[in-house]
Amino acid sequence: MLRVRDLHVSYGDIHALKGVDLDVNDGEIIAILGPNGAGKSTLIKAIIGVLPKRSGSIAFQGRAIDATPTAQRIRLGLGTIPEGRQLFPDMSVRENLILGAYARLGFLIPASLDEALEQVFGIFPRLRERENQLAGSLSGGEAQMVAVGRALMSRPRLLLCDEPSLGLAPLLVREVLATISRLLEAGITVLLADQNALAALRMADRAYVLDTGRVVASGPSASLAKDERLWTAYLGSGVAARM
Amino acid sequence: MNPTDLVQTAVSGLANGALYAFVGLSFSLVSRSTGLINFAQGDLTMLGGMLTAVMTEATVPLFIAVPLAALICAAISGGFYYFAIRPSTRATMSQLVIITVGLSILIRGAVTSIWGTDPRQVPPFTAGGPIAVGGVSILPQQLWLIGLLAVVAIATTWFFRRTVLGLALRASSGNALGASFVGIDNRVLGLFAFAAAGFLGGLVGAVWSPIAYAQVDIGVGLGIKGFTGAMLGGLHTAYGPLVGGVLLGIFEAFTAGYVSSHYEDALIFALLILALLLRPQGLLGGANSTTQDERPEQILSTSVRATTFGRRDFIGIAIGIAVLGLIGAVLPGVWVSNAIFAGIEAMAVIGLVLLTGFAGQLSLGQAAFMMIGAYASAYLTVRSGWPPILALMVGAALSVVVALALGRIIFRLRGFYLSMASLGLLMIALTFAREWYGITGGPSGFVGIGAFSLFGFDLGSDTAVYYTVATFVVISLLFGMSIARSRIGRALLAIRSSESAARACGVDVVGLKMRIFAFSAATASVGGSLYGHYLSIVNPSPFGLDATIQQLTAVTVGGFLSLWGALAGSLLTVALPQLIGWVSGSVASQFIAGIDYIIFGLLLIGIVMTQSNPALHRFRMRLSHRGTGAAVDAKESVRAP
Repeated sequence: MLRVRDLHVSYGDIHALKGVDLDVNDGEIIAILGPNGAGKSTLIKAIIGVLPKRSGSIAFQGRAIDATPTAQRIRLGLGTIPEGRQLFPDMSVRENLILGAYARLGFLIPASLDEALEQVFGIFPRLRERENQLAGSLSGGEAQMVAVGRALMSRPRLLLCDEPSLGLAPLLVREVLATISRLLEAGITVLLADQNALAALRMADRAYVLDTGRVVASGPSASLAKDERLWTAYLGSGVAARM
Repeated sequence: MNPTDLVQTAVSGLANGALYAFVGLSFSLVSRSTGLINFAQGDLTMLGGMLTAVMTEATVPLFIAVPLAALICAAISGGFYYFAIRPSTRATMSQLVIITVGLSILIRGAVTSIWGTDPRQVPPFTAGGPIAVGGVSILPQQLWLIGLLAVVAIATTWFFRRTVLGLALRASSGNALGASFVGIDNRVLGLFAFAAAGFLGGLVGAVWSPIAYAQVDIGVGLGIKGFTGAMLGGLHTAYGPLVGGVLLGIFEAFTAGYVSSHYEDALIFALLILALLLRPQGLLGGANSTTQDERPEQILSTSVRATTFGRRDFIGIAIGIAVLGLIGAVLPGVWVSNAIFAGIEAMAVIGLVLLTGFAGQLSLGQAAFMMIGAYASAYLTVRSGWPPILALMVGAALSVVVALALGRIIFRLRGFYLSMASLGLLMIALTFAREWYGITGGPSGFVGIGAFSLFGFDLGSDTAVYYTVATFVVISLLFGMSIARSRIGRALLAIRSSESAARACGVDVVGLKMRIFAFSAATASVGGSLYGHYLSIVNPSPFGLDATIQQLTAVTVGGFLSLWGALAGSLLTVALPQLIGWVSGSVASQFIAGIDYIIFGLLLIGIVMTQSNPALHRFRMRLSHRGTGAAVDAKESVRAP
């Protein structure tokens, strides 16, 4: 479904991704693991097109999307729950959700959008109560619901989730992960970047471990959980040997 | 005051308020979508009126002329975004201010050289005299303006609530990164906003022109007033610019009518500075809004800069003094006075290099300090009979005091807001110079200032003035250099890269900015004093916006971090009008002034574009690598604060 080959991305002089290969198949949950600064968010930003790549290729459903603008990538079926949610604080929940469908909207907001909104409210009834409240005034859990709902408004087939549990209370983390499992049942493939390696591995079919811009290990979750390279990436070499 | 008068004042204020509301709305559109303040906004409005005037003179019917004028303004504004701003991705806040000031000058230059500076009349849209309603009279054209405002207010509401583009604009202004994640292309929004702002500005210029005259000079004041209105109401709110603009118009009418018609402009600009300080989010703005731009000030130059006094500096200074000394001896008469004016301008530019280049604080008000110096010298030598050198020093001290007092206020602001506030200060100073007859002599100025003298020696001959100015320039240069090459200079560069990081390293950010501001005020003031002695007359006109623009161009041409470049840039900008005269063979001063402005504008835009375009930047890096070895990159990254 998604095929990334030898992807290089840099911010100015900082070379953040140094040749990343990644494959996501239909219906999988793929975890991207790695410590802070490993390049997880950069990878997701490059896939959705918010950051330009320096070299390499990205293909989605057999189509090269390297040079495609973000809006077009979203229309092809990519969606994002960005790191830190990135909601529009001074707009209402409803307006935030509408903007999730921005890529396929014209000049005016069509009445047919109500259907998609109803679907999101079906999943998160709390958001219906908060429909006209400003997104900036929501609690962390509610804001996360808006972020998920906004991503669903574009009807993605592959959802890129960047640290969906960051900054949430443990109880809410479980709720978010349960929501993501539900998405899978609805036929959405999920790419999940998370620092919380154990939780992500429990959900994922396969995982990639990133360290300073390179894939240092990859494979099925079960075998990767025991892989020394995973722990080396987080804790540094030598530590894993003593464990 | 009787009630009819009150209503009458309010009504005429309302019409002008509608004008400011439009201009403010244009500022707001651009600012909300791109984070920029377009300093050319007022000139676009001026252009709309001018185009309408010219077209109606050519008997183009109004219903064609007005929309066409607005569309031309939209095309200029949108084209400017697309070709100049969009590619300048590495530009800092100061550079973006400069690039929009460049457009402002370009428009003024083009209008001046094509149509001249004389006011032009535009026929009202509907014939007939004022309509009287219960003792209050109102012009039909004022009704047109107010009616148009009502239409635009309704259209704006609809646009921001019901259209996808309107929602996208609000989203992007609230969270640009979030907007890009849902597929909103911020550059498309920028293009739309600039084009729409140009359209609105041009349209209101066309509708307003029959009430006043279409004239090239009104652009700047209109820009500042529109911006003031928008800031009053809330620049980043939906209705703030409209409400604020109307309130400002009414405030202006009442101050002119009941307080002072001489100082009304000064009061309005004071209101701007107060608004920026006390309630930057505006009357309608929530608590979240902010005036602090988050764009980091990047390092302008990629070459390694000496940060300590070295042998090269001493050699440079020795050569510089020798060259300056020699020039005075061999320069033909006509050029001596150019060299003197260039030296006087350099006094202001040297301060600006430190303030803008090193500390990243773009002040557009330096001419105000030249004015303080010039008037202090004039008053103290003529009225009080003081020796010139003492008067000069008192003027400089006064400038420093004013700078420190103002610095406390304006250095709480950053980026565009600082530039706008300093421009407001210059306008206040100009108003006082024109109106405070007792001290300044009003618009015709102060005459009969004696030549500069020192210990009884009269230094009145051109050659003597040249060496006097050269001496002051060298002293300022040495001062400037010793600041730039010290830990203060390094701290200033740190402030420019990241204020918070500099503060975290223990740099006294506000204190340093104040000291540099005071230094730049002192040198500019001395330049102003020498100017007064040289010309023997001081009046407000040479210290207006033209001086600011000339200094800004000199800094940009000379290189933001180069004190020697300040001299070169000053010489070029002073000599340019004469060069244009020679090349074109024209003696028409308006034509020359227009071409002068066009060249200044193109220089400002062109230089900033080449400095901030990533592709060109890489190209220059490659060139410099070839020249000085590939170690530049590594050194720069170590030295960069």
